[in-house]
Amino acid sequence: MKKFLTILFICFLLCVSSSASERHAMPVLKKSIDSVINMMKDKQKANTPETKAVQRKKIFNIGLELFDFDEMAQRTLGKDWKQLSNDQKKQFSHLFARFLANIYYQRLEEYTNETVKYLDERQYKNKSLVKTIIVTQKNEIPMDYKLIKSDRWRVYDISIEGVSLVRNYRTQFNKILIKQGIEDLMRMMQKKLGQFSDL
Amino acid sequence: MGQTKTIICMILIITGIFFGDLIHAKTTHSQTDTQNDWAFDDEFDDDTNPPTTPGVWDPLEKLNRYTFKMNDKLYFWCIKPVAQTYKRFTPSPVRIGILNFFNNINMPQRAVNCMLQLRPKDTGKEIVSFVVNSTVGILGLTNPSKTYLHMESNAEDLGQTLGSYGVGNGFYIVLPFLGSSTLRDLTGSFGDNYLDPVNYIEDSYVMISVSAVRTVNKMSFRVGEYEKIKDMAFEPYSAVKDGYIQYRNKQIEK
Repeated sequence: MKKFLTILFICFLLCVSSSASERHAMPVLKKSIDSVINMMKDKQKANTPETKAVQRKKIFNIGLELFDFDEMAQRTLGKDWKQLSNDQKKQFSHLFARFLANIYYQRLEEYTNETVKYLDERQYKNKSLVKTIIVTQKNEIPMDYKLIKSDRWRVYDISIEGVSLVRNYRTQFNKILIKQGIEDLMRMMQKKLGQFSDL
Repeated sequence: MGQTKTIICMILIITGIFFGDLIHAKTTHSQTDTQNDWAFDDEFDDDTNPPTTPGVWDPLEKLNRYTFKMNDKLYFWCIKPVAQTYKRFTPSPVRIGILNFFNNINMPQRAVNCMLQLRPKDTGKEIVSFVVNSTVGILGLTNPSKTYLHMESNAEDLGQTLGSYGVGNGFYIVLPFLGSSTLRDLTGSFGDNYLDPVNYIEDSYVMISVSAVRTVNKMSFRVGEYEKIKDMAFEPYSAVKDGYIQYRNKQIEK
């Protein structure tokens, strides 16, 4: 009984501490980004194809926690989302998640000791906007994250120098959906993903 | 004859700027009516970003797409190899020096536009930076105002000034060689040309060579950017168009 109580107490403590840290989105974001950056630093030490594959998988897993890919997929399709069948919805968010993760990884591979400065956070209901700056040797790139809280904070849009990723893909997808159709779009995504669709 | 032509041009530009947006606003308005039931458009967007136009009017789309394709070829066949070769044979400090030099002499454009946007403080900053960089910074080859005084320069131009006055984009234009622009930004760049010291070099051969060095040097820092954008995009034309408009909106907002 005493053991049970201690476990219960520990569980309670854990819950309290996690909810306290999750009231704001910035620490959650910072934690994920820090762990990715640390991983990239490790990667610079060991660099074989096998470790790379493991890296990719690990980073994708962090990505799954950090990004709300379903929300992103819905937002990029906008009103067209409703017209999809459930299967199509599932397939589209699956592909889009892998596509984004892949881009993210490609950009990370160019990582050369950039640092991230966390500037400001603004919250509105269950949404949050975190402003950061990526400091490279040459210049500083403003990068804003929009997060939404369901069970935890997750990113649903990134703006780089004021250009929102979701909005940019929305314009592109709209155009493709008008001219062609969702099947064609998904075929294009599959083709772009190529060898990495197995993530 | 020449005068009437200019007048007609001016009238076209002015009506384009002011009415282009009206027409666009009308058409997009009817669009948003049907899009009101977007389940995923949220108030948070409006809360943190002032309402931005959902897109840009693109009546010249066919021609623009053609020019876009041409620019694409031009980039891979000409601009990229030239910039890469230049990059290979020019050490990085030299390239940075040249970049700083041209940035420095472009001070009038930034200072005047800051003034036109009623930001006297930033105008002053630009002038102080110019004086410091031209003297301590050895003719502007280095950038001590940034490294020591932490004065960031404001990349202001007339297009942004007009934007800050509430002038809309007009419509989207893809220019040969220069890429994305809008009627407003193109009009602005004509004005900015008067503030560009390079345009006051009297010998036209010298002027062209100087402009060429400036352009190639600038491009040498940006080789690879276009490929990345293209690589990420499913519809490169729309991606670049939307990216340009969003980026400009952000700059104007600042």
